Amino acid sequence: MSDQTARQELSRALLRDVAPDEGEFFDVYDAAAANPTDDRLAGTGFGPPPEFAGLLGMAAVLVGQSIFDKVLEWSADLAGEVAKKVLTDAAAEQLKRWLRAPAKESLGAVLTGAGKVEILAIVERDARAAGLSKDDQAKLLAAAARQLGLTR
Amino acid sequence: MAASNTVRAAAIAAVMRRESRLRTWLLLLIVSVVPSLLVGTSFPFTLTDLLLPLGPPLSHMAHAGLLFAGTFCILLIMAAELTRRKVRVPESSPGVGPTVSHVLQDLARRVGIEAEAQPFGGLRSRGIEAVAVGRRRIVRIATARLREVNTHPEAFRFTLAHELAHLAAGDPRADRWIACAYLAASVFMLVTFGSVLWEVGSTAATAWRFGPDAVAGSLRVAALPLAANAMSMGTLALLLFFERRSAMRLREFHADAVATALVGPGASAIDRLQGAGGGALTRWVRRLVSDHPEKHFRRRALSEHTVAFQADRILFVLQGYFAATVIEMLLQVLFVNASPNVSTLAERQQQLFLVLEHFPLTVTTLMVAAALLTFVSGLLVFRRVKVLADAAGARQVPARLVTQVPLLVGVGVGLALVSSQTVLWELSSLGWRLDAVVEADPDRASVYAAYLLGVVAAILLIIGDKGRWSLTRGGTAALAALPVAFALSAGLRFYIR
Repeated sequence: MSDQTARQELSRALLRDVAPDEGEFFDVYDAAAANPTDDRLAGTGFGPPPEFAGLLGMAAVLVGQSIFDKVLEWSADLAGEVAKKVLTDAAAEQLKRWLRAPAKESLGAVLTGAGKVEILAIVERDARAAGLSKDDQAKLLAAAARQLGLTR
Repeated sequence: MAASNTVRAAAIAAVMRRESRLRTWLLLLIVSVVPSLLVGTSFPFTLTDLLLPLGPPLSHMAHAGLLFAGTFCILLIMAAELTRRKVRVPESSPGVGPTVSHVLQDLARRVGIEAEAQPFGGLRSRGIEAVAVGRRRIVRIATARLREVNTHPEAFRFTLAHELAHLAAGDPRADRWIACAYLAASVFMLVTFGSVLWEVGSTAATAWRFGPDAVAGSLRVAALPLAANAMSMGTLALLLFFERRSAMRLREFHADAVATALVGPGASAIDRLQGAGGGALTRWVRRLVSDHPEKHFRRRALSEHTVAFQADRILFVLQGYFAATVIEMLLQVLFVNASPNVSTLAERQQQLFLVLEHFPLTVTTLMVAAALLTFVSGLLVFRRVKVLADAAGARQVPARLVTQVPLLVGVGVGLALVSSQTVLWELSSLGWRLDAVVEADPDRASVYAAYLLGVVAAILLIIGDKGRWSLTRGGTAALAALPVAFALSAGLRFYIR
């Protein structure tokens, strides 16, 4: 499984958890989350659009991408200072498995306490950037923790 | 029931297309003719007999017109390419998904067009818009709003139907044409004003050799032409801006009407739009400059068709302004030095005979061209009135609207006159007394009065026959001819004795 496919698998699992009705939009969410600045208007619109309200489904896809990329970055330099801080000693093999199947495997035994905090901080950051309400932020955080196996 | 709704939607879309076409032609006529006249009269030596040896002033006007056409075409090509780039997406890009696609195709079929949906934007984009590129008609939907097909199905369908109505009416393409014409007109007006500034600057520089008093004197002399040019171009620019905005608001009502015929009243879609905040003044300014009507007007217009009639009244002001500008230019060209302080009526009559004797073709062409331009602008306006009546399904144009027309046209004529350098000069030299100007220059005043009288006669005709004949194809031509005929009669009465 390529990194791209694995990243999508994680995002899809998160989307399925928080917004199961939006499955058919996964591909377009995935593309939009990867290229969030492409918002140029070009034509005749309907009117001033509804007040902005963060979209849980799209935020879940973005969070999936961010988490996967961060863990991939740590795995590239297992001997490095950062990796030593965020990954447990016995992480190498389990980490490899997670990177191949992030929707099925758990990161619980892979990350140190600091690593878990950093991953959850990424979720919070992306949820805020997506403009989610407090309730939706909490929902996404819980879903991410569940999906990554970070809950007890 | 669904079939009859579809027929009604297609009929309104067809009316929108006609209205949009007439509006585009009228604006193109105004924004090409007036700036070309300005440039033509500002560069008489540069634009003489370059390509068309017609002799002055026809040669100047024709060359300025050709330059305008060239600038407009270049801008149009550039704008089309820019839009094409904005909507270009890689082959591998994901689509909007089967549900949205199905809804869009069903609605497009019922409006009678082919269209495609394209997602765009990131986490915070919220728009849904219609774009036309070449033969492609695209409804672009912000990615974050795709799910509304399930969460707010009625509002989403209404919004898509509204955008498809814009596409069916050709609004995105008309917008591009008008934007390019406005840009070309702005360039021409800036060049004209630049030439006035250059003239003032070089006169002041020459005067500098004779001391500060000479410079101050030259600037005092230049104050009037500077103010007149600034007023004239500023007025035109403002009128064009307001007309464009009001026409954009008008077509929103029409697109809502198409969407209502297709999927039912879209109050829920309109309710979801952001409301207009602010105080009374802010709301009034927003009503004037906004490209979309306020929510409560749109909601009311879903059931009260007359609301839409009020949306584009500035059209009549613009028509008055254009007609008066053309007449004023003609009078200035025919009677150079025709101001009451410089010549008497008898001298002006004599001058007309003189120029007719020496340059019969030029003078006749100028008069015919001015009459034609005024006639065509009137024709486009009266045809639009007819289309507006059709769009609202009304048997006749509401009397409240038509009775406002002479007043609105009069405002346009007044704006054109107070921004005319000749009129300003006459006013300033006669102590800013309008009655003195009319008394000294009864011919000019009468031509404008006759034009307005012709407009009143046309309106009385519409009211008198309840729009039955007057708003037919031949009727609108007759209505448009009336003000021209009245103005010509007044001119003939004064000058040809």
